[in-house]
Parts: sequence; C-alpha cells; structure tokens
Amino acid sequence: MSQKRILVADDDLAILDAIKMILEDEGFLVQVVSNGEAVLQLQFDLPDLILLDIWMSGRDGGEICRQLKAQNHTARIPVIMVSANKDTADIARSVGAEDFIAKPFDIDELVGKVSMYTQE
Amino acid sequence: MSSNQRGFRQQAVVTTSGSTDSLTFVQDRVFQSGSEHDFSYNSAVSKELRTRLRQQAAVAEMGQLALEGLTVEELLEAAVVVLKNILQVDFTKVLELQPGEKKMLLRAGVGWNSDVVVGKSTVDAGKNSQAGYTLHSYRPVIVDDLPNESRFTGPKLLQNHQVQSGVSVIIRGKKGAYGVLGVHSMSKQQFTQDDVNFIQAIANILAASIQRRETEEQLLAHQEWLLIAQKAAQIGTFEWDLRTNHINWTKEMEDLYELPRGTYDGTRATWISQLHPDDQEILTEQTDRAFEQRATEFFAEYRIVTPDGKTRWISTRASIVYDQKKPTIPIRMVGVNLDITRSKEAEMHKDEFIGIVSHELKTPVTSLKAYGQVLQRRFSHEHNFHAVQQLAKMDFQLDKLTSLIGDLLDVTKIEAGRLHLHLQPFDSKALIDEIIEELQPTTIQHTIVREGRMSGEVPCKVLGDRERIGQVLINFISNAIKYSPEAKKIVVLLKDTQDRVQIGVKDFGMGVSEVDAKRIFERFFRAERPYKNSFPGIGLGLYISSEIIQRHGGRVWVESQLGKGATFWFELPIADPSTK
Repeated sequence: MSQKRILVADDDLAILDAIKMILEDEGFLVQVVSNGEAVLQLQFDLPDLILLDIWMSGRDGGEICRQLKAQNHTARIPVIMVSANKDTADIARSVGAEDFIAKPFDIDELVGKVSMYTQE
Repeated sequence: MSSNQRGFRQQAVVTTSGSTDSLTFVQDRVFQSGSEHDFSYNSAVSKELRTRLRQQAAVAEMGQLALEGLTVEELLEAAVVVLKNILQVDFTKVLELQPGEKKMLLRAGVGWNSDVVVGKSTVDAGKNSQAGYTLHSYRPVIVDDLPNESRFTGPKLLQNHQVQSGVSVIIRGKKGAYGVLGVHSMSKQQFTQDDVNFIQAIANILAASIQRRETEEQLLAHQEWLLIAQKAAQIGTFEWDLRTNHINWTKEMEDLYELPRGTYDGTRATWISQLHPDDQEILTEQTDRAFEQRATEFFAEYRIVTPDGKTRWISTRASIVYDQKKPTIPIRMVGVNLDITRSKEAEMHKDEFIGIVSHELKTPVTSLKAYGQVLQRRFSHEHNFHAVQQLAKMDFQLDKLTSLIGDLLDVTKIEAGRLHLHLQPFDSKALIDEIIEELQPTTIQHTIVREGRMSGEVPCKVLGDRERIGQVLINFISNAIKYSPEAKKIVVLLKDTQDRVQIGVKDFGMGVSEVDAKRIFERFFRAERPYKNSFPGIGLGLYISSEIIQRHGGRVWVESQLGKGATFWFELPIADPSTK
C-alpha cells in the first residue's frame, strides 16, 4: 500500500504542526499550506484527502471547498472541513464536503476519519 | 331670603345667602286672582313675560353662536353687547382671573371710558372688590347701592364710573373659576332673580365654550408633544383594524420604511413585502400566534429593506384588542415601530466579537490538545504510563476549558436568538447510554446507571437536536457528579407519557433548597453559601440547558430537598406519538 497524501490547510501554524505530527505518526504523507489560495492552485500531484479549515483568513474555506468540488480534476478529492464552530457543520454539508470535524478534536477522531476516507 | 315686592318687580336679591325661588314668580303672579290692581297687574305680567322671552331668545342666540364655532374672544364680545342691550345697563364686562389669583384682566366690555382697555385694564381680585367678592363667595352677587354697600368697597373701576347697581356672576373654568361676568348701571337699577338667572345662563355658555377651548388646547399640546417625541425618536404609529383588515400608518411610519408619504396602501401584504425576505414568514407566524394565544401585548424585532436596498432593524410594540363579546376574535392592533438599527448593529458587533474571541481561544486549545495527545500516544508506545496519565489529566482540563468557551458562545447565541436547532427524531434511550459511556470514565467515585419504565419496547423517539439534548444530559450528569462528592450512584431516569418523554438525572448529594430551586435555571445563578465557593463554575450550564429545552417546546425542573439529593428533569415531545 502506497503512502496516502494529505493536504492540510489552516491559518494557524501550531495546528498545522500538530496535525502534521499526528498524521505522520500514522504513516501519512502530509503537506501543509496556511492559505486557501494554495489549495485552489493544485494542478498536478493531487492529494488523496484535504483537511480544510472553514475560517481561514482571506478566502473563506467554504468557498474554497465549493470551488474544489466544481473543478473536474479536484472534484473527487475527499474534503474534511475543520472548524471551531459546531454550527458550521451545516456549511460543510452545503458546500459538498465529505465530512466535518469540530475543533478542538481528539486524535482518534481525526485519524479515524482521515483513514476512513483514504481507504482504497 | 328677604324679598320685598314692589309693583311687578321682585326686590333685588341683596344678600348672598339662600336662593330665590324665582322661576315660579311669574306663574305665581299670573294665577293670583281677585287683586284690586288687575289692569296694571296684567300689563306688568305681559311686560315681564316679554322681558323673559327676550332674555330666553338671547340665551338661545348665544348658545347658537357658541355652537357655530365662534372663538372665545368673539363670544365674549357678543355676550357683553347682548347683556347691555337686553338688560339696558350702562356697562358690561368679562374679567379673567390671572395666574396667582391677585388680579383680574378685562377680557371684554362695553360702555366704559376710553382709559379702560380690553386686554390691559385689571381689577383687584381681593374680597374688597365686587368681582373678587363674587369669586370668593362663588355665587351671584347683586348690588343695589354700591356707595353704601357693606360687603365690599370697590373696585375703583366701578367707583370711577359712578356705578350704583349691578350684578356679577362666576364664569366657571375647567379648574376653579375662569373669571367674572358683570353688568353695572349708574342708576339704581333693580335686578330680579330672573335677571340673575339670565346673566348666569350667558356666563354658563361662555364657561362651556372656554372649557372646550382649554380641552382643545391641551389636546393639541399633547398631540404636538407626541408628534415632536415621535419625530425625535423616529417612532411610527400604526393601527390595524382586523375586521376590515385595513392598516393606518402615520407619516413617520412611511418615513421609517422610506416610502414616499401617502403611498402606503393600508394592506398587510404591502407591509410584509417591505420586510427582509428571511423575516417575512417569521413575523407573519408570530403575529398569528399572538392572536391565537389571545395575547394583549405584541413585541417583535425584524429587518426591513428600504426601496434603495438598505436593511434596517425595526422593533414593534403593540397592543391587541379583542371583541368584547367574542374574546377569541382580535379586532384591533395598535402600536409603534421604532428604528433600532444602531443598537442592533452594536449588538451584532458584540456577538461577532465574542464569536471571534471564542474562535481565537479555541485555536490554541486545539493545538495544545493535539500536542498533548500526540505525546500521550508516544509515551504509550514507550510504556511510560505515568506520563500518559498526567497527559490525560491535562487533556481533561482542556476539555473543561473548551466547554467553558462553548458556554460563552452559546449564551451569546441565545441572547441574540440565534441558537439554531436541527430537529430530527432520535432514540433518547440510545443517546442516554452513549452519554453515560462517555462520562463514566470521568468519575471513579460514582456509578452512572439508567433506570426507567417505558410503555413499549419500541425505541422512544423524541423530536430534537440530538447534539444539543446530549449537551443538556452532559450538563445534568456533570453537575450530579460535582455536587454529590460523597455519593456512589447517579441514576438517569427515563419515563414516557402520552406524547412526551421525561428524562431525569438523580443524584444523592447536597440537594437544592426550595428558594434556589426557583432560580437555579437563571443566567449566572450560583448556589448560596455554604456551597458557593466550594464548587467552581460560571453558572451558565443550567441556564443554557433550560434555554435549549425551552426552544424544543419542552420544560426543565428540579425536584429536591436540601441534603437529600436532587433530580433534574427535562421533558420533550415524542417525535410521532402515533407510531409509539
């Protein structure tokens, strides 16, 4: 089984660092970006899953997800939205995200969901 | 009274005590027979009758003038002229009592010298003047011989005009006397009680007219205040006739909605169409519900969209009036609209601020928690269970911090009316078991068990927001753990009725006093001593729980006795009673 590649987008560097650490411990290949635009500029080398913060400064995470789902080459990448606000689960659903995780999260939940959506 | 009859004329009433039964005077004379003065008597009677008829006609005329809407000034003018002509006296006058009640101002008069000026000349209001005496005795005063009058000496106005005789009567005002109406002669004219009645009748017409004007002036002043206040506060007033379904708006209402004045067509549909699309249905439902519940007061806050696309916040306060015979039928709704955009914006900034703050607080907690859990895993792999245990404690504290931040955010949402519920049927028994499983590891002391009789084996579905109801259960059970540190057991009870499910959390701790039980669900409530300082918390949990349950159409309550534990209950509607 090849290493699964996860793209994590969040504007908080400590969170990016922690998630990278957690997922790498689980054997994932992790790439982190701290702004939403970088997610949309993906052309080649597409990840197997995107963890997307909803409240990213600059471009709204919800809008980024909607666009990812509208582009042919990125539409099939599973997106898990991450937010500190539980009510944004609705937003995640409405913009076509596969799942939602509320901050702060338990490692088990994060690892469990990431593994689930990256299974062959 | 002392009346001494001379000829056909009744002796003037010179004293102020008692009254003359003068109405019967003419009749008495007419029906007296066998008099030796038959001829002169008859002619006297007919002259008397003619006088009375003229006086009556004059009273009728004055009444007519008053009704025709003459101003008070015009009416006073007319009165003094009529009185002078009918009574054939030298002078007539109307005096108005001035504030302070020391002076009376000449408001109208005829016959006086040129140095007596209407609107300027005054008469002393003390008991020493005829007018002042009239005011104080509050009844008509007849003077036969002023120079030899014993009750008063003046005033100078009458003395300067060589007045001998006269009558003065009170003109009543709205409060106390308006002033005095007087007729005076330089000759020794004798006035009968009928003359006095005639003068008083004229004075009464003036009084009625003056009182009406005072009322109108007050009304106008009030209306003016109201208009100024409405304008200053940007208040619009409306009246909705529910029988004709027509709505009246003041021009301030149109100003608030930025509609050109006079263009509002009086229909509910047009009003509703001015509302923000998201608020139209809510307000319609709220109004209908108020009518259904026979509410007499109505309050709502909603957004409108002005013709040029601006959004404004409006607050409505109104009273609803119901049919007296059919109290279920509303007939009128009267109220005000107020622009609350600025305070709403400030409120929203506050909410936004709290939203940002709680988000910003959660961000470092998220990474702290993640780092801690990474370490826990790594130490676990290295079999360093002491470190794992310490990190687990840290993680538990971080969860408490998260829940406090969540409480603050929830209170903000509740206050702003933005606590959104995602209602769906769910199995309450399964939820209870899940929460017990989640919370059992947080206490070593207590065993948490579920007990309950359900009427059927079918899972008991309630209609609600599963996550929010879970939050309430967690709050109740966490409190039970916290407030029964000595007890060993916590029982979660489940009961169902015809259309409701009741869930209770029973502890065997210190209990709640009767006084506290009434206030325990209030915001920021904390139990009084001796427990106040022994248990931490910010007193928001039960308030949030009760708000969540109330928004589900349910209720919360507590059964307890101090020292004997407590059971906190909540009740929710069953999802579909027919399938139960």
